[in-house]
Amino acid sequence: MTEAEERIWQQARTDNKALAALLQQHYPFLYKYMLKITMDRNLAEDLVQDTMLQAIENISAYEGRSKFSTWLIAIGTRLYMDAMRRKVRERKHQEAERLQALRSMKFMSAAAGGSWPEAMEALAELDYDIRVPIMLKHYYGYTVDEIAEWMNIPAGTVKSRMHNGLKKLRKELSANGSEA
Amino acid sequence: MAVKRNKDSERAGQADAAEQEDLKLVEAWLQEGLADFDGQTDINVPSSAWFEELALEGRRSARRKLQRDLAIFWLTGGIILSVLMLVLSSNVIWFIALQGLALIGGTGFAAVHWLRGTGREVESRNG
Repeated sequence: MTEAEERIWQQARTDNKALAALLQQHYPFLYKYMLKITMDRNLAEDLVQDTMLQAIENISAYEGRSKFSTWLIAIGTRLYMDAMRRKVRERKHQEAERLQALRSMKFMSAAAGGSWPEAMEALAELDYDIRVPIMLKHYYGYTVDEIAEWMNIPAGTVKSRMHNGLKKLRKELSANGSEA
Repeated sequence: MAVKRNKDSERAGQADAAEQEDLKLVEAWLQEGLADFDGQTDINVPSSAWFEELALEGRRSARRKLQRDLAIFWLTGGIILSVLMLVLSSNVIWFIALQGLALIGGTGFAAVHWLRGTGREVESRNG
């Protein structure tokens, strides 16, 4: 952490305006992360707000050992995993909901004049507990140990989920390659 | 026999290298696709006032939780102390037995917690 970042963080622990500015600065990063792992805009919005509230409530526990964005990602990941475990237990029309949420994300991309990348399509097909570690490791560059801690599962399980997920993605990539 | 073993390990090495190459391709494809998505996604960032209100609400909620936890702590502590004083005044042996149980229970809990933490660390090191 640089001196300037440390000063900002120290201020944020006691000063509301400084804390608000810090959260506002990291909002886009957190929101984009949540969109990618949830593939569900409504859920992403709820989780971003919950993550920020938890960060505010526990700001005195943040010791500055990791980047502030990493801390937010850790909180957000845990909240998402908890939410999904609750959803699995409830088992309420999951597949239909998932597809509806995905359609909404694709529409959002199209409405913004963009396209829906094939990689996002392939990631959307993976189970959430495989998608999350793959993104955290292979896009955000976090370690297996960090991911295991945030998902509250052993590191071995993280590695095996990533291995299975990457196998499926390899197949997708080959299939796309042969179509092209 | 040695020649066959060498050929087998050579094949395994080639398979590993091919898998590593594949992994790099998948990673590059993922990174390009996700970076594309991030680049084209426009986020409406709420105003500073919204974040200040959120920060205020968060701190209020934290204060309420702390007060609630402290109240539970003092209430539970008061009940336990009262029971202990009652037992001490009526039967010293029972009092010592209760203290012993609490010590064993606390040590056992700490040991299980520590072992679980060590187990996770070993698993993470061994992969």
